[in-house]
Amino acid sequence: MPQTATANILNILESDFSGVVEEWLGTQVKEGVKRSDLFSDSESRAQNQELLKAFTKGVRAGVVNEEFSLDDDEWEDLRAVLADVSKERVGRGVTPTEMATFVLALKAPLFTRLEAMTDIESGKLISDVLMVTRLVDAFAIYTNEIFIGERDQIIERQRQEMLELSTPVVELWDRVLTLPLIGTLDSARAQEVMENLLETILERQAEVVIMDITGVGTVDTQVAQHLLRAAAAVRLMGAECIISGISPMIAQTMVQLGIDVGTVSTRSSIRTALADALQKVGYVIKTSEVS
Amino acid sequence: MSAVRITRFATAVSEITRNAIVHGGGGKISIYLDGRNEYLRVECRDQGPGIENVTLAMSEGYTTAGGLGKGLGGAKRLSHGFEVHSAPGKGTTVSMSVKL
Repeated sequence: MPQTATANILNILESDFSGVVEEWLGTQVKEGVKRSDLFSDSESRAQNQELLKAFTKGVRAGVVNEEFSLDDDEWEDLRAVLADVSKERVGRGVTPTEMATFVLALKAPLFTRLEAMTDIESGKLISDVLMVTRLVDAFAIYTNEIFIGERDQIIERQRQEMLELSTPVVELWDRVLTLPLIGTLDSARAQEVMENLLETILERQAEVVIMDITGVGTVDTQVAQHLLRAAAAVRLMGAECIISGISPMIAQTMVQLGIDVGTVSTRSSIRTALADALQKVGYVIKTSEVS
Repeated sequence: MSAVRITRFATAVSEITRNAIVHGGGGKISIYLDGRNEYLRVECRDQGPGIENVTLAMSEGYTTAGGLGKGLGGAKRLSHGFEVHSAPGKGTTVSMSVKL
């Protein structure tokens, strides 16, 4: 037996499915959220049809005693279609507002059709309108959540990529490595840096490692601790560590913080650090004599 | 503001916000400018377990997280004004300011 709360809504969705789809598309155009620059007409129509089909299925089975939750099994289809549609739309650069308005535009065609049903008494009409509102609102909120989730994933992926990109170990000279650090150094990145560094030391048989912090804005106690730990690990592997690029500002700050660098050598610039490193591995830098 | 002062204060703020994230499970940060534009004040508030003995926590080398134990005292030395309000179970609020 159909639920009385959704009987009229379901009736509209089933008897006039393509009419609703067309009018939904029309409202999207009117509200300016149909991105004809990003999606072709047939693509938009297909997406709307699929969404509405899944929505209808949810309304048919997923509303019990006027209550529903989009997390229930009956709404699984809608969630799946939405995930696909959102993914595609995020990828093509649709904004969250456009996405929500796109879904909310479904209200108008449903309202006009309810209004046209002459056999509904006014009290029932209001409760039907309320029901449509609740359903479509829930639909829109869920859409936004998926949309944000999709973006979060993109951000997370990019963060991961940046993490890998931002810890390059460069071989400057035979047995001399440098690690230019840029930005902030949190625990995850420090770990990444250290692993990368130690592996490269082994691979290249490095004897001197220059950790350059010219591009690090602030060195607080935790950053300092990460640096000193990395230096200690380098020493354990039999290589020497020079921390370079300590600006006057950072030097003062580190003193105020009471950070003791112990036996780790430090240099103000990578230039002096390199001269030092080359000397340590037995090279001499000389100006060539022009005869 | 001079570059040194900016670096110093930024480090103090970094120190304190890191504490709020590591120990307090995250929190809120508010930034104020006093009426005569003389001071910038940053207030960091968390709802974490709080600090039992603030004086002890401020002392050199005291740590509960395996850190250097210099953060809180260091942050105080790096700012012009520094206040900690905390009690066990009540969260922690650190207010630090710098002369502009």
